[in-house]
Parts: sequence; structure tokens; C-alpha cells
Amino acid sequence: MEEDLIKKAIARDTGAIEALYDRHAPALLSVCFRYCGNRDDAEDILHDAFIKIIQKIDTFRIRTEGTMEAWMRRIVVNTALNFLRDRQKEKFFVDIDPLLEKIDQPEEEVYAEEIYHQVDREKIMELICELPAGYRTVFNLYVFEQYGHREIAEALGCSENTSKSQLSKARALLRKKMNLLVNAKPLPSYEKV
Amino acid sequence: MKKYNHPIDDLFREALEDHQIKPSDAARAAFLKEAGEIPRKNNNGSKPLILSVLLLALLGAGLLIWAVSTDKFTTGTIIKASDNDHKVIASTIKPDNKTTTPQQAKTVKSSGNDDGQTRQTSAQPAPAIKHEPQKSAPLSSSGNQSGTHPLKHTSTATNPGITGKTTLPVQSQQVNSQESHTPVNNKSMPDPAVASAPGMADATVQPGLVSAGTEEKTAVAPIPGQEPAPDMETAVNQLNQPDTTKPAPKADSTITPQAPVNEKVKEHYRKQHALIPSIGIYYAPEWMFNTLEGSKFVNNFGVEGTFRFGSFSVRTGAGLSIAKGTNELIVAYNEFLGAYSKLDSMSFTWNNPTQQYIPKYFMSSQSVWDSLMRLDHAKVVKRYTYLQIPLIMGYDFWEGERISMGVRMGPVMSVLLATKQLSAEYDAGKNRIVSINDIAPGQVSLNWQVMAGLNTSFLLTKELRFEVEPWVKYYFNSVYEKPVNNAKPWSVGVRMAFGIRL
Repeated sequence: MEEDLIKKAIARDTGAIEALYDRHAPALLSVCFRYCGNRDDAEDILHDAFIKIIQKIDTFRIRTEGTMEAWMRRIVVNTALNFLRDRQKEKFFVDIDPLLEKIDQPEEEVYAEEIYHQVDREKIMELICELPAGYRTVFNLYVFEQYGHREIAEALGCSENTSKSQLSKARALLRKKMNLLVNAKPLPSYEKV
Repeated sequence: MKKYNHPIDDLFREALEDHQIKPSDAARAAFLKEAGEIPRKNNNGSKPLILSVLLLALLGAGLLIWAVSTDKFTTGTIIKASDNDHKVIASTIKPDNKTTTPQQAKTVKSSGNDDGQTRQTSAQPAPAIKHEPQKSAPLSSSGNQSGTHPLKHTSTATNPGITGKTTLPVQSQQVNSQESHTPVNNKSMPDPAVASAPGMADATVQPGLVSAGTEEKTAVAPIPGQEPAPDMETAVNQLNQPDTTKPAPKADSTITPQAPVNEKVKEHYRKQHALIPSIGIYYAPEWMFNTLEGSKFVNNFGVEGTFRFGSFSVRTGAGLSIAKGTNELIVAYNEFLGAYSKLDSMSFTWNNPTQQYIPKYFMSSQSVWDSLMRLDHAKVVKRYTYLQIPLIMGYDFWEGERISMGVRMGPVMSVLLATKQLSAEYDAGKNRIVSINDIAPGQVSLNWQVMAGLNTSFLLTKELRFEVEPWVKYYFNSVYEKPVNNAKPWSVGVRMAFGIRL
């Protein structure tokens, strides 16, 4: 089914392109939204990414490239990163607090995960969107795209330490906001100074 | 190294893994509209480039072949005359020129028959008409069977221009036939151009006054100031049957050589119809606008070939276009804070006199950089060399004795040949470079432009020509891989060229 759609999309069949868009756009828009933090920009990124997808769809090979969605997602993420890089090339990263560079250690505290699970997913999305761009990008790449710090450093043109630091700060900030959201008792500090 | 997953990571991943947001209808419609206009991508990126070059090469070759063939047409119609064998070779002249074509080539043979009448026979249509001397009896008006009529065969005329192997352009024949034609009948005898009669053997026949296939007509060209012989007169009278519709031209008017006029007409004809090739070199400074740098200066130079056809011309060639471009870099670095001496090891030596251990330190210098990443902007100057292939059409609307003016317009194809960095690499000093990102887009490898210009041409010598051509050029696509704005670049320039007519 998907293969047929791809073949037709290669032949620029309007119906197939429309079907591909309707099938994959909602999930991909969510990805865009996580990276840029607002709907307008997210739709712009999705638009550009989908144009690239259609232009390059003849290079997609199901066997070698994995699933269609994963391939599309990679294009969307790259488009989002380019978008952020162009928009915020000078103020992308928040200054690093040296003290926070060493906090990326396994936690020993036990968190009230059951409380966190009560939070609505839309609220969770909002929390991510409220993060500063640098935090948000590193967090997205690390958590959702499963990038390592070295890959993040290469993708964003920063050092691995910067990536680690931004991730730690992002986590701390998210946890703080989650706590506020669930109106739970503040948990012990995550950062070990 | 195994990735460490924090509980928060898992929580967010699980929450948002299959999260979806429905795109707005406007976004959907915008995408579908644009997606419908996406052309199918070529598998081979260099295919259009190769095709374009091939197309231009084919066009150039076609023009060259056409030029050569047209040149043959205009000047290649010749008449060979020899003492024993006369041929009309490739006389492809249009009927309306009143000249002889292979199909129309008719000869008038007159034999000294009994009734003394001059017979007119038509030769079979053939590309070449051969006359065998033994068969071609001299034209006789008195039925002289001896066949020794003083009228001589054209081949025996003493005109140095037509004896032996002589080639004469038919153009001149055409002109003469129009000017001094005395018809024998409606189908034959196109040109009574050359007289070869007793007393006329020594007459100088003007080059260009000889007509092909007329040697047996033994035409009627009395020499001015010399009375034709009586028998010749008769023959002439018979040959030149009076046309009842037209008054017969006077002998003087038919024989008067019109060489200067012919040359003029010939020249005019050649000018109007001949395709004149020329080659040359050019240099064109160019000021380009709507680029990343605002405006920039470009040098163009190369060789070119021009084919002129009357007032029209086609110009092509190959040139180099050299431009400098500035690339902006963003350098991420860690600032150098200083250095300290690090103690690697130490050893102790016992000093007997003082009864002390004397320490010996082994140190190494260690640099310290700030962990804060800073950004710096740097610019790198690059030189781009393009191969330019123009195909410019021209029309000269005014032509003077030595100066002509015209308009030129056509497409120009540019192919990126080389890129060279001119400025030094970014110097970070003691700072530690984390990354260098090129934020300015590179230049495209293929670019199309259209140019329009006003050409003024100065004829320095008969062959050498100097041209000045101010022009405006519009770039169909941006010179950058990633256009920075919607405005397409455009440029103005002046082309200066020297051309030699071939």
C-alpha cells in the first residue's frame, strides 16, 4: 500500500501526494512543533520538509532506508534544525554554567512518576515548547531522536559538553515545571552541586 | 557507550511518541498547490548541463555547416571551359534570373545543312553539357556545307579569360544575361555574350560576359568601332530573331561591358546573401547587482565567432567569467584563558655535601580555555571561474561606410569551472575552534542569463573590426545555491571586441 503510494508520488500523482500528506503530516507536525515551539513556524517547517520529501521521494528505498515515517522524520528534523540555525544563529545556546556541566549523572532519587503521568500530553508538549531554544533542541535530539552527545554536537556545531549541559538544564527546568503543574511537593534537587 | 536515559526522558518520550497535531487546512492547501508544481527530478544531476552543452555544440556545428554550404551556393557555381571539353558545372540558377539551369540548359546547334537554315535543337536536360568539337558544326547562314563558316566556336575564342581551363562565376553571367540578352527564341539562347567571329578572334571579351552553353550560339558581340562581317551579320540576324514584343536592343547596348556595374551588383548580392564568418576576442567588464555583497565586479573575456548574413548576425563562442565572492563563516570557539605549568613528575637527588635531597621537577605547559562557547563572524573571499557560452542574435539597423549599429540579444549559459579561496584561513589565535559553519550559500554550478545590448561596430580595415557593445543582462536564476531573496541578479556591462573577417 505504502509502496504503491510512493510509486505514484514519484510519478507526481496528486492523489498519492495528498494521501501521503494526510497520513504522515499530523505526526510530523508534532515533531516540528516540538522543535520550534509555535504552530506557525511548525507549519512552515512541515511545508518545507514535505516539499523536500516529495522532491527526494525517488531516492527512498524501503529496504535500505527503513520505514517511510522514519525517513520523513529525519528530513523533518534536519529541516527544523536548519530553520532554527538560520533564525537563531547568534543566540542559540544559553550560556553554560560550569557548575552544571557535571550533573549528568544517574539519579538516585526516586521520582513520583505516577504523579507525572497524570499530566496531560498537551501540557507536556507545552512544557517543551516553553524551553529556551538551545535546551529544547538538545532535549529533542537526545530524547526523541535518540542522538548521542557527540552527534548532537556535530549537528548543532557545539561541543559535547555544551550538549550535556543544555540537556541537564532542560531536564531540571522541565521537572521544576512539572512539579508546579501537578502541584506536587517539590522534590529534592536534581542537580548535585 | 550506552545512552543513559533519565526517568524524565522516558516520561516525555512515552507521552509524546505518538502525539499528532492536525495541520490547518490553509497549510494543507498551500502544500498541495506547491506539490503539484514540483517537477520530476532527473536521476542525473549533470544531465541538464550535458544536454545544454550538447545542444549548443550541435547548434554551432549546424550553423557552421549551413554557413559552408551557403557559401558554396553563392560562389560555387562555375563554368569550366577548356579547349576540347566544355562543361557547365552545377549551374543551379533560378529560372527567374533568365539564366541556364541544368534542366533549362539548351544549346543551339547549327549545322551547315542543305537548305541553309539554321536549326535549333534542344539538348537533353543534363547537369553538364558536353560539346564535342567534331560534332559542333559552325553556324552558317548560307548553307555552306563545307562547314567552314568563319564564326568560331566559343572555345576557340581568344579571350584569355575563357580559353584553357577557365572558371567564371555564374553570378556575373546572370547579371550579364539580364543586361545584354538578345533572345533567339523563348527557350534558348540565354546569353549572346561572346562573339567569336572572324575579326573578333582578337577581341577582348570582358570577364563575366561569357555565358555557359552559348558557345555554339556564337553570339553577337560586335566590337565597338568595328563593323561586323556581312556573313556574321546574317548569322546574327538569324540567331537573334527579332522579338516582336520587344524592340531589339541596339548592338552597342548589348555589347557594352558593364563591368563596374556588375561588380557593384555582385558585391551587393554577396553582401546580402553571403554568410560571412568572423572570429574575434572580447573583454567585457560587468557590474552585477542583487547579490549577497550588494553589487560586485565581474571580468569576462574569451573568443567568439560571428556569422553575418546581410544585416543579421549570430554570435557564439566560449569565454571565462571571473568573479570574487565573499563567504560568511560563523566560528564557534572557546576563548583562551591562559596557561599554567603542570607538574608531570619530580625526582630527588641526594646531595652529600649538604646532606639534602635536591628535587628536580618535570613540568609541561597546559593551556586553559573557557568552557563557554563564543561565536565569531569571519569572511572568506573566493574566486569563482565560470565558462560562458553565449548565443547572441543580432540585427544591424544602420550601416554606414565604416560604422554600423545594431541590437544584440540572446541567452548566455554559465557553467562553474573552478572555485579558489583567495583569503587566508580564519585565524583563531590561541582560541580553540569548536566548529566553523559556512552560512553564506555557495554559488550554483549552472546559470542562465539573457542579455540585450546595443552594438556599434567600427571597420578599422577591410578585415578588422572593432565593436563596442553596452549591454544589460538578467539572470534567470540566482547565482547562489540557496537564494537569499526573491530578486534575481542583473548586471550591466560593456563588451569590447576585435573581430577578423574570414
